[in-house]
Amino acid sequence: MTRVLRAGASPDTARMGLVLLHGRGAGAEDILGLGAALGLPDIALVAPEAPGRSWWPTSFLAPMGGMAPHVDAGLAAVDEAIATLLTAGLTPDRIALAGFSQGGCLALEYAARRGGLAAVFGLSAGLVGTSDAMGGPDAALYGAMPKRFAYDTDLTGLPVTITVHTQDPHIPLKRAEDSATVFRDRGALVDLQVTQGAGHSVTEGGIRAMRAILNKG
Amino acid sequence: MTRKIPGLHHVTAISGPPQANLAFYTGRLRQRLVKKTVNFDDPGTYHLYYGDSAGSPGTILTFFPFADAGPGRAGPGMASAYAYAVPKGGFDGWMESLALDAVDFDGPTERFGQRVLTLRDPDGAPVELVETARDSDAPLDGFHSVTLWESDIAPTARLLTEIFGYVETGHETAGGTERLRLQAPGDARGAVIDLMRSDAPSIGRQGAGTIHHIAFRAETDAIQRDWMDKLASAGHPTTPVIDRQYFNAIYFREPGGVLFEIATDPPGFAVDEDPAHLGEALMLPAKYEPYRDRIEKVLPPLQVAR
Repeated sequence: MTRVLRAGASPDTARMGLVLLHGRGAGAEDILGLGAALGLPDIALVAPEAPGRSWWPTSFLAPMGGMAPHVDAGLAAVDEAIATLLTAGLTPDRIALAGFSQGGCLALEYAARRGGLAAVFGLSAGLVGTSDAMGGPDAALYGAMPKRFAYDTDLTGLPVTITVHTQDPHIPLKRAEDSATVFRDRGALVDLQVTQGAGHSVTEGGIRAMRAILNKG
Repeated sequence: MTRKIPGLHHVTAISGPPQANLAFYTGRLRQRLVKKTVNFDDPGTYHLYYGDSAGSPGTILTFFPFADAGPGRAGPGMASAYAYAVPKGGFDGWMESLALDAVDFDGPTERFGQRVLTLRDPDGAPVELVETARDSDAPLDGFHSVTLWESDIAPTARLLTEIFGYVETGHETAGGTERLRLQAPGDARGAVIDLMRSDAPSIGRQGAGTIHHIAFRAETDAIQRDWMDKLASAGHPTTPVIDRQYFNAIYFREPGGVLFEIATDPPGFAVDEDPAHLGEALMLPAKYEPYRDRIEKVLPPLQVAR
């Protein structure tokens, strides 16, 4: 059973709900700090915590065979977190999903596979993918094999924010760019924010985007 | 001559089960387990000490690993983070090796012109790595600093500057967080203390992943006695000298609420073990030696990363 922490407005009176997914090694408390930093008191925050503080044990670039069971478990944890908001009376069009790093990859993957959200924010993140693709190790993917992105959701009008550094040691720029393309092709409104230099972090621009989109919701 | 504190001696924190903690600090952070002993107030719990290869003051991070510790969180009146110094030229390498092992970090952010990255230990404690210009062959050259989270930074700043001899070297405010940097004169490890104040409401709770106390250095027992007198006359009475086997300790609570200790450099961690074999055997103070069998039965076995 996943540990789930709550903060912000009560879900039965909140204007919106936001599910927050932490990065590897961090926990629910940490990512709730991001929620608090938004300064939006009318939003209900829910943060599930991965068992062992890790949504999966490897890089998200690892082959799908090893990733799939962990991704499935992560998606189920997000389902559960969203269900707590739905039972409180929030509708899917008033529920947004955000995550940092591993949590950001999971958030993007959830949005791409399930659809039906108000917005999704992948901070220092990219799509995991649905299966392994043809082709060998790719330097642009830090030597990992390419993945397929076979989603059949309608994402028309979904605001998608993806942030990445040009030399993010965890998230290859190419994967972030490919993820943006996948979402665009499915009709989403994509904001890809690329920060110059080496790094892996929640950026000011990412927080600004969250504030702007969630304020409109 | 007015006496000054050279910097940190050690930081003591609380963790969950010991094996994950040991794997992280000896494996991931490449620290040496320099002492494996028990909590002198609770001998059924380990007390683990990590540091550089010699166990030098200013490199020592110690843990009480309580197997059933609930998760804690930092708040005002608590030390909220410790930062290791990354030697010159080593910062990008740290980022790469963390990425290779798929260990998340946040950063680099910039603090007083230095790059800082933050990772989380198995209990969620923030571990900061600060890029420095120090030359060293070690992957991390002991502590750079600790952060003390205060609801009002002025009284603590006064104590550190007026009594301990720290000087203000910077002041930054970003995103509702104010940070005053104080630095001990000289180039000892762990010379920096950041006093931090945040607008975000938060109530701290001692538990796994939080810092129990921070200890400053006294170079000798005589110097420690001086500090004791000086603190008492300044209105900060300390405990009597307590024998901690590897150093002598006095404690007091600073005005903001953080537990401060002043620990002596001698005798050090080689007092009861060969320097080449520090941390290998379970070391017990003499008073617990008669109960070694029973103590060893309740302590979980530990595996050090090689």
